[in-house]
Amino acid sequence: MMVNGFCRCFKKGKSVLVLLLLPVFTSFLQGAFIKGSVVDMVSLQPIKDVTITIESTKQIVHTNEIGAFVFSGKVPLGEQILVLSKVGYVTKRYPIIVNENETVSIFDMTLERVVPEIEELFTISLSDDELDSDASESDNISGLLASSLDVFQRTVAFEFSPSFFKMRGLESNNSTVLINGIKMNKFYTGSPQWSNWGGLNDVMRSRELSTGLLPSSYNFGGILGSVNITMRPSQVKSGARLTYSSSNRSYTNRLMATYSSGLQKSGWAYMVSVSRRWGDEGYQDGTSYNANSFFASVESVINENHSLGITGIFTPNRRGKSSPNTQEVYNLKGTKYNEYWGWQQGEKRNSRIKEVAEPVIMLNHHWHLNNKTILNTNIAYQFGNIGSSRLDYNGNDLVNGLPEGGGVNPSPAYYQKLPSYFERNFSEDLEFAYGAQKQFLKYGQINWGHLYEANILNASKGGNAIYALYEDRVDDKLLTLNTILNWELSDHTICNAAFNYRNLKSENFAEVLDLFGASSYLDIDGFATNIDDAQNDLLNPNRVVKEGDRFKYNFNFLAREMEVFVQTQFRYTKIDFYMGARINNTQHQRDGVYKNGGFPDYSFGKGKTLSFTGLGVKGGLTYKPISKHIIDVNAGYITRPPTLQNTYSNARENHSIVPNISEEKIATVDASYILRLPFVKAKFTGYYTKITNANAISFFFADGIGGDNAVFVQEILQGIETNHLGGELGIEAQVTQTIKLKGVASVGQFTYANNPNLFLTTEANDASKEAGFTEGFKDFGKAYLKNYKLAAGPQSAYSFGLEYRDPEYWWFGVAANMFTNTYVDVSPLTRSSNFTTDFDGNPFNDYDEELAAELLKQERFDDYLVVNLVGGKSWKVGSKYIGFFASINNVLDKVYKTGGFEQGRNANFRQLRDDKALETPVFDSKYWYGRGITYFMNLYVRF
Amino acid sequence: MLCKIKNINLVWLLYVVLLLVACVKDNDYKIPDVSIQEPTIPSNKITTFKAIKSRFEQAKANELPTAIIDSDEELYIEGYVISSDKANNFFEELIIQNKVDDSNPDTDPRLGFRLSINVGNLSDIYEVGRKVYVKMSGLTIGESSGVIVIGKGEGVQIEQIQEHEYKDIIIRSTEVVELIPKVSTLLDLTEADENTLVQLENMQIHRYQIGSTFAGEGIDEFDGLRILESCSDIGTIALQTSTFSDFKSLQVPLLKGTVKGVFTRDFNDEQNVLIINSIADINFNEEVRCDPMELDCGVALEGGTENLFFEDFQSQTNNKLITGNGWTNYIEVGSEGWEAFTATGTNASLGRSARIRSASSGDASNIAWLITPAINLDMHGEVTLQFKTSNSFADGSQMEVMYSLDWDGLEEHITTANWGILSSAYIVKDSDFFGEWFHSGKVDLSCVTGTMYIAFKYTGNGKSAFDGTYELDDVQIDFKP
Repeated sequence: MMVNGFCRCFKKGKSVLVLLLLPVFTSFLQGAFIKGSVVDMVSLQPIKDVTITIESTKQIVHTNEIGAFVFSGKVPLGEQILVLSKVGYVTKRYPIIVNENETVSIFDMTLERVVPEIEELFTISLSDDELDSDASESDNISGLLASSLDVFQRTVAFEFSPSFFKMRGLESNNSTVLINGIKMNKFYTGSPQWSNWGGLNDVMRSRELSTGLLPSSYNFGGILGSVNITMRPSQVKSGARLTYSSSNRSYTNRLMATYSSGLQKSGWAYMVSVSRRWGDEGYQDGTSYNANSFFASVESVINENHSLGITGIFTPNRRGKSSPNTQEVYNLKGTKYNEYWGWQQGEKRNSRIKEVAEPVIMLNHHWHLNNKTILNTNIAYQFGNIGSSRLDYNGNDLVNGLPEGGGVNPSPAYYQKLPSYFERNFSEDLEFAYGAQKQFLKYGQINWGHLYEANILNASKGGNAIYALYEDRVDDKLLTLNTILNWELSDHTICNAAFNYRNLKSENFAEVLDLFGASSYLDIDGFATNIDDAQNDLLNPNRVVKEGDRFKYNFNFLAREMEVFVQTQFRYTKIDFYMGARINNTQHQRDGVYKNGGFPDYSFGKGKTLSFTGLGVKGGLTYKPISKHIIDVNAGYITRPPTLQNTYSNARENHSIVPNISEEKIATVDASYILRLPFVKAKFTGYYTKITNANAISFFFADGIGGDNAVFVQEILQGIETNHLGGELGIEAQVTQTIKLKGVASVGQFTYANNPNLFLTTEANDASKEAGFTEGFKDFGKAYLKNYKLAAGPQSAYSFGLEYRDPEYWWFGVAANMFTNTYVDVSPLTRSSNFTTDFDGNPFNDYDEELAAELLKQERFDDYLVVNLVGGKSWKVGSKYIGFFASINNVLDKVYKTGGFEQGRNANFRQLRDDKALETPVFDSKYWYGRGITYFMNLYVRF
Repeated sequence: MLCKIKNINLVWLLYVVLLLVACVKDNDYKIPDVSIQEPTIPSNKITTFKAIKSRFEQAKANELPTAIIDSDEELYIEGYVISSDKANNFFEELIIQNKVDDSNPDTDPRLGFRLSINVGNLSDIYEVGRKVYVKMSGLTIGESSGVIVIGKGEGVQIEQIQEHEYKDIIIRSTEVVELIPKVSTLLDLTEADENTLVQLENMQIHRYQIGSTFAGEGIDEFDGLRILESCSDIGTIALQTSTFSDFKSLQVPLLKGTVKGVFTRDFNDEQNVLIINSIADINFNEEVRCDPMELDCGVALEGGTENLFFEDFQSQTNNKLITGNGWTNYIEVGSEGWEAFTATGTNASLGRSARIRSASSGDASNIAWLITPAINLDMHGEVTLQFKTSNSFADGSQMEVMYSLDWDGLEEHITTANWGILSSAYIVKDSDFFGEWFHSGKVDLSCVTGTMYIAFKYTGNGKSAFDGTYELDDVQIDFKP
């Protein structure tokens, strides 16, 4: 590939580069006076799109793909200053002397990134934060875009992401993250797990981003784009860096220390980084943060042709989650309220901790077959676990061979504890509602003491735990092998090809964490009415488990993926174009370790192997008749296998798969107009994406389905079609040398384009039978979702910002961001026939079409304005650099909803009507609120 | 190089220091001390259950629905928890009684109350046997489903004690006792035993309900009621099980034995019921049941065409014992027997009919027989029996249709002969509408041979729960020649 090709050239000597470049430029640039190239100071890789200005005449040119530029018109003679500037780099001034009839050649001028400060911003607000959170709302690709230099994409990353803005309304599984060429997206969700490398910001500065369909040299990528993070010690200059940060967003403190040796004469290079992020709580109450990161990498440049590196990444982290709440709860307790924690021994103990500890070891080999061809071969092995804890309150004792027991829902915000419940049921006696309100205001958190008390009491009589803290665990073992070829076929043609193989064994199970003073827990499903049905594992009936034991469910996912990718890129003066294709085959298999009592025939052992084949083709064209006006068009058609998550309809209990499951189909097209004037840069893009035959499985504890029991339910939407239509605009204006104005707009419309099929699965017990399930499965027919909006964050967002960058190394920026068209996630169940039909299958006799339409209207949240401030300064003290950076987000302390979802509990017309008629509905939607005013400060020393 | 290694060491050292100073407490919590202190309740403020009950009776006498303890009045009662919602057979209630065993002194007689509380899983902290103090200040004493309930509110309907206050009202003592239930026969249980723990011995589930579940049948709404019958005495009591209980779908036990539970009234205050806390409270392990002999030839599609015996009681005399027409009218115990009567209105007789009742008999027990003449089944083919029954407040009294193939026709041998139940005959049930007459169906007798007598047997006593009335008419025996 071109970049790597040049890299090699530099090692041999600059003359080679000059020789290489000369024929290219002299051929079409008659009467050239000044020419040259710009490279990155650290990586020595060429930088494109650097603005080169002759200071006296304000003549401007830009560097091309290989970092080269030429002033072809008349240039002033004598001593001149060339100003090199580019977003993300420190502006540099180079003095030159231009003599008549002489060509000035200044190659390999260097520019240094200033991005560090900016990247800190990215670090705190994204990868540390929303990116590894659990809620699907936070499923965004901002981490990907943070390395972009495009004003639109940067604004999305830094300004829009805290509002859970989704670019083009697409999920993050439409993006690919690679580290050293290895795909890091999870098999299960298809999305990258950002916390797998959180806290290692120092060693992840080298990122290669391809947005949208634009070609990446490493893979086909998703339709949102892909990024390759290079962690090669030989590419990093020697030095150390120490960083301390303070914030009140997610963690309170962060310390990072990094050392890199640089490429030594011996041919060795190494790099180590450690960091710790911690805090008892972030902006939301009780959200503890406890993350350590370790990184070590050694690379040996064996000779000119071979380099071999080994890298280890381990970032164990534990975070306390925060709850979505109903408006009633927010009104009583404020937007920082989190129902998941309670006091224990003077500490806020969070019941829902997400732990991610998945070390990766990778071996990377770079082989320069010749000066046009590089073969990059990688092996990676990732293992470890992801755990999400929660409280169980269904502990039983075996009495005469039958389970007896179960506790009460310990959630302090359980609907039966809130004032609205009493207002509804005791409208005559408002003292009850008042009492409940008093209670909720005064306590309103988990009462850990009660759980201990109940368990210790029951255990003292020889009983088991009634309450337990457990963890849903995923222990993956993932092996990745791949080889990536970059072949510079000619000056105009680059071929990329890759072969990928991934093999996963994923153990999925629940594990007992804490029995609150009891020593045993009876591992059965207490809701089942028959002792055989109640068994979680028929092979070990009525098993009694202890802390640290697996229970509830236990199965393995076995998955394998093979992928071949080829791509050719053509680059000419006035036109660039590319074509890429990919074929992949994915096999999924479920292997049950437990024989579930509800599904004895198809839960144990290996299930059927499912095979899916995905095809992808894409192509694009960039037309640049004159360098100021560029037109860029891309189109792609991709079919892709369903993710593991979306393949199995009730994986915890049986082998069943989603009915009619097959590959998802994506058709996408976009076109951009790019304007590059000396002071104004702008890009306008229009896009349309249609996704068909998609599946979505969501899991929740449903309270209303099958009695009052909290039943674990999977809601399956199959055959979903969505439309994603919109336009994006980004404008940057360099008003003066120091002041820059930025304007960004993203206007989109993301909707359901059909009425997908709705199925629900749950346990196969009497309660579910009563609710109309057969073998724990119920077909609800169509969910009438067509034209409902997708809950993809704000569908439109606007930003206006100003940046001041003082020559004295201090700077600040302010941005005002407007978010509009944010919609609640609608419940498919209430849009199915279930809504209109009575228990006997006939329509409700009091069904009122108009009222129903009113009830089912999708809630649109209020538009809101968020203002963010950033600023920083850096010093050079001796050979050390000291940098300070601070940001204040949401300066106006605006209170706003970023997302929410309807509760599935009011599943029919009458229930919803009666509930909505109340002043405070009992089963109102649950919401996420954005943070109020928050700060982040960062101080680093580099030496 | 050395310098660089130092750098790395520095990095690690820093890190170790960091780990030490910057710990976040997010797991490994110690078990907190959950022991409780004995509350200090002033003993002169503790009153008896009897006194609380009297307050309610006083209020009733003044035609008030409830008695409310003034919130300024500091008043406590002390009792022991006898119910458990652990198996979900009790819901949002706590039954307490004032005695550990069956002692029943006059000054502080054995009594129990139901506390109505809007909290689930009370057994988490109020387990069976736990001594509690109930702070009565501001509470309401009333009646619900026929038993005394303590709760809140001023209306007729007692309202629940709420989650935000229950721990201040029901105060735990450190004392936990092993409760000794009152061992009793069904006949000895009175209103005073309501809301207390009792144990019944030599009991079994009525044979008609063998095979059904505790409360998992289609007809079970809120509760399942299963008949517990005594093998030692007459009488039955309903075993009440919540449809939310953990054992609702379990089949009722086949054998007989001992059962303990809370004695109370059903939701509609129509009958006595026993509610168990756990399936372990039923201890039916005695092999031999005490079921009567039974004959079930089914119901004939067509009746006999020729009449063998008919009685419509028209020729009898009102308020006199049934005589003549071959009847044997025998009073085994007590003073009441089958006699003739006429009545009009909603509870009308069919012209003149026969009836028996033990109401106001004052008898400790009433057993009476009305027996047909002998039927020769060998000489007559396809013999069928029909009759009609009705009742009035049958309650715990019983009427059975029985047969014997070995009775010799002599009164003194009635109790020694073998009598079985004709189980296919329909007899009016307590729950049937009292004004209506129910046809027995054409009871087929042809699947046995020999000489058969048919008896209408009544069992009851003078107590209100067992003093029901049964009415009988149009007894008809046919055959096909």
